[in-house]
Amino acid sequence: MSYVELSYWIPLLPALGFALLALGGRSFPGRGSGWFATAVMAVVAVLSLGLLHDVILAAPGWNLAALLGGHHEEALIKPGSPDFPFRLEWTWLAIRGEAGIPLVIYIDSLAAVVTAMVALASLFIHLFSIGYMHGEERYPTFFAYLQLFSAAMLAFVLAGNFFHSLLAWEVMGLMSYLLIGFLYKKKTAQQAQKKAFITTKLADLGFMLGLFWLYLLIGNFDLADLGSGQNLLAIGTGAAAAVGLLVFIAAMGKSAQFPLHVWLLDAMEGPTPVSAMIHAATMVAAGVYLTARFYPLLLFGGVLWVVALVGALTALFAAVLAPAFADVKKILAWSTVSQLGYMFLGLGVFGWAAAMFHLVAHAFFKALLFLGSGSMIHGAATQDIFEMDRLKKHMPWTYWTFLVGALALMGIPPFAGFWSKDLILHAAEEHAPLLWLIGLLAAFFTAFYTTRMIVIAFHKPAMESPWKAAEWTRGAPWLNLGPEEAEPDPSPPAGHHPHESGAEMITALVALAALSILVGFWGSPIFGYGLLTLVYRGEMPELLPASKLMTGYVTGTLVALAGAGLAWFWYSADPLKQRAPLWLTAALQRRLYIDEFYYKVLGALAQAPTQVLAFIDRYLIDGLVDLAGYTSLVISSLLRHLQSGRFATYAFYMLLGALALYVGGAR
Amino acid sequence: MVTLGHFLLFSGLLMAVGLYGVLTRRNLIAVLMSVEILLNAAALAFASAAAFREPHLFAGQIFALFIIVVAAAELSIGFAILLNVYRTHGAVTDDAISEMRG
Amino acid sequence: MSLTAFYALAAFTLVFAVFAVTTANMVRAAFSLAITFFLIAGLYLLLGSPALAAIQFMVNASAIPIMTLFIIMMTRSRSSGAPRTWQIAAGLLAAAAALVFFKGAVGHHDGQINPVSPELLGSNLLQAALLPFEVASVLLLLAMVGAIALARRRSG
Repeated sequence: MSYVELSYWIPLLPALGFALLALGGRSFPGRGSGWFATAVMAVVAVLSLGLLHDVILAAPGWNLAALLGGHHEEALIKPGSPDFPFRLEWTWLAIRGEAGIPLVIYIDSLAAVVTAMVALASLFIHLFSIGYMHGEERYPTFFAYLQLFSAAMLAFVLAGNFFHSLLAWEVMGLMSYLLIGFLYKKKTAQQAQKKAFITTKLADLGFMLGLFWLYLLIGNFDLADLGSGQNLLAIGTGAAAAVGLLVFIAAMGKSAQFPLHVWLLDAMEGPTPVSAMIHAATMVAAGVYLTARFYPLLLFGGVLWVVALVGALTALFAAVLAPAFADVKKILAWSTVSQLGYMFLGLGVFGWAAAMFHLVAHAFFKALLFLGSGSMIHGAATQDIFEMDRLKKHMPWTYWTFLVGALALMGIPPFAGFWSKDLILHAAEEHAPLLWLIGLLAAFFTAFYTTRMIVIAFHKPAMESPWKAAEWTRGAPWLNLGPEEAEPDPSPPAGHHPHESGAEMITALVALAALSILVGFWGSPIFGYGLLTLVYRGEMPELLPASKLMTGYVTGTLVALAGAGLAWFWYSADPLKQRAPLWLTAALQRRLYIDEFYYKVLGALAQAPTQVLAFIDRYLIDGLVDLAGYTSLVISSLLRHLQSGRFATYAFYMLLGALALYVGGAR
Repeated sequence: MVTLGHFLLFSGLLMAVGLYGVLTRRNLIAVLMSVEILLNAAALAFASAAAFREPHLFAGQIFALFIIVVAAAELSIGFAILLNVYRTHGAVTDDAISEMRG
Repeated sequence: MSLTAFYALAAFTLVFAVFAVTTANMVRAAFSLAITFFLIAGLYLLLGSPALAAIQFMVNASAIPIMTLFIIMMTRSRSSGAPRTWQIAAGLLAAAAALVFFKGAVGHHDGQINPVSPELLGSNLLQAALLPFEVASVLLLLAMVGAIALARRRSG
């Protein structure tokens, strides 16, 4: 039995695991529920790796030299197996012989690669959580949520039908809500989960509208056929652009692209493995994946430039904001926003495969970084990088693995981010030089804030956090909370000594570090763009021969080194020196007041119609209801006189009834 | 000569009297008495129709007999209820039991 | 002769019946009810049905008035209140309506009375109407038990 036929177990197993943990999670002794969930994910990982193996065997093979020479027709050296892409189909919602909405699992190379990525990243996040969440009151619940989150993402990736994509997408939205607010006693967590849910839900409207419009146009939700010429002809350019953009709005919400990025920073209110889950394996990757699936429509509709523009601006915007933050998780959150921006930039400048490569690479190194930050927080008992005391000395494993992730993020060769990000930048250079410059600038800032984070957290002794008492960070205005409602994060207790984390956590870190390096090499030109040719679909101008690559690589590396060097130079000398004007720091830490703008202006805008509706409700609807009640009151106050309570009256009514019968019968 | 019409008309008059009594009496015992008159009127109508029309089947006579039986049963139960009404309300007039007044 | 007897009986019956439903004195009403029923027994004789006349005499003209007198005493119902004006109007309307029901009665001119002997009625009752007869006996039993159960003074 091939792994393809078993593929439906990939989303099903964690879903069953969720059911089991949600119902009987408390029955597991100690950390049993965590180990159970991890075991489930291990099975899923094996299944998805087997699936990837099957897909690699079945996928068409390409002659790299011919591809690089631009001869796409001659490049095919091995035709794909006839049943590839694989398709499993079950009847669903079929009424009396109609097609209904068939339940389809569609496995092409991209789906297989992303499935393997999700399964592996999720596996190590599970493993890490076993130790990290220890002592948490709702320990089994946490793993139940993680399981369903993974299940939803896997179902989303494997779905061959956009309707089921939507279902899985919404489950993910729910799980992100539940997990971000996992520490539900914190006021900030409550606000953050609402913010995340409402923001993404607002964006999801775009998905639904786009999807239903699409259905009106072509009459099915099939994912595989979306890009077929017949479908595109039926849709037309204008509608393709509109549907594509509507779906892209949903992707922007899920993948936290400007201006819908606001929720992601506050998603840090969840426990750190949740952040890793959301930022690497599941939630944000879904937006990019969805956009990649709707790529034919965006291309046909001629609106790819929107995607590129949004991506480039987000990449720069987030990278500029990140250096102003002191919370390690928030810095990483900004880096996620920024890296997702790169992916959209890649999609927008025809770098489809490069963007997918970056998606997979980023998933691994960002999971690594987040779990690393979790280990740091666990060891140092603080999230503030300034309060961390020479962690390099105390937590060597965490340091070296974190460094691998950080170098990948910065784009330093030969780590994963270098290969993938530079391919995106190449594509941008080809098609949109201005966006290429923006991307380079973002790369500079990326290297800068990453180095700053590492220097201050790992190399420097603990110091007073400069901004904890700052007037502009009091409370949480970005969550619409006042100073009395949101306490600043606690500092480590006096005399606290950082310590290395437990074995499961270290295992997860090392495994993810190894994976992120491996994935980087798999997609690199050194190994013949293995990952990219696997997902190749015949439209990849971003593949370049090695000779042309060199300039780009050198430029990218130099820019990254410049950023890293500047940060090293500044922060190893005097980490506390205020180099930017204070008002700028304040503005950056308040996230350029965008969140507050949303709360205030959009809140007010949303309130205006509710005032009208409230008026209508109070006076019109309530009036009608009152009128109905009043009418029956009046009628009954008249009719009640019929009920005299005296038998003679009733006898008389009876007589009248008999008379009526008589008159009626006589007629 | 006495005809069926005479008897039926008499039954009608008796029934009218009974109905008048049912509607005007305010003491519940008097109401039941009026009901008795009504039932007797009906029984007489049956019996007279039988006597003039159905010499062999006796259905009318038997019907009159059963009406008397039913009237007796009804009256005994009715009086028992009125006795209870008297115990709970202290009177058996229509003013005393007017809980159904709207 | 029988026409005279009928008119006399009918007139007296109606007079007593009207008295029974209009007098304020309950005891008088009960007695006039007894007389009414007694006179109706006479009408049964006139119809050639001595069996019915006997039953009417025993049940309606004797047992029921006695029971009524008992209940009148037990509930201290000396008098019935004067009817309200609307009740009189409704009663008259009802009476008129009843007469309308019976307006067709005038047209029946069958004059031949077929007497029925008690033996004939009895044997018919126990043959053709055996089942209703038995049901009626059960009904009477039930009524007796029910009346006793209802009227019983509950302890506590």
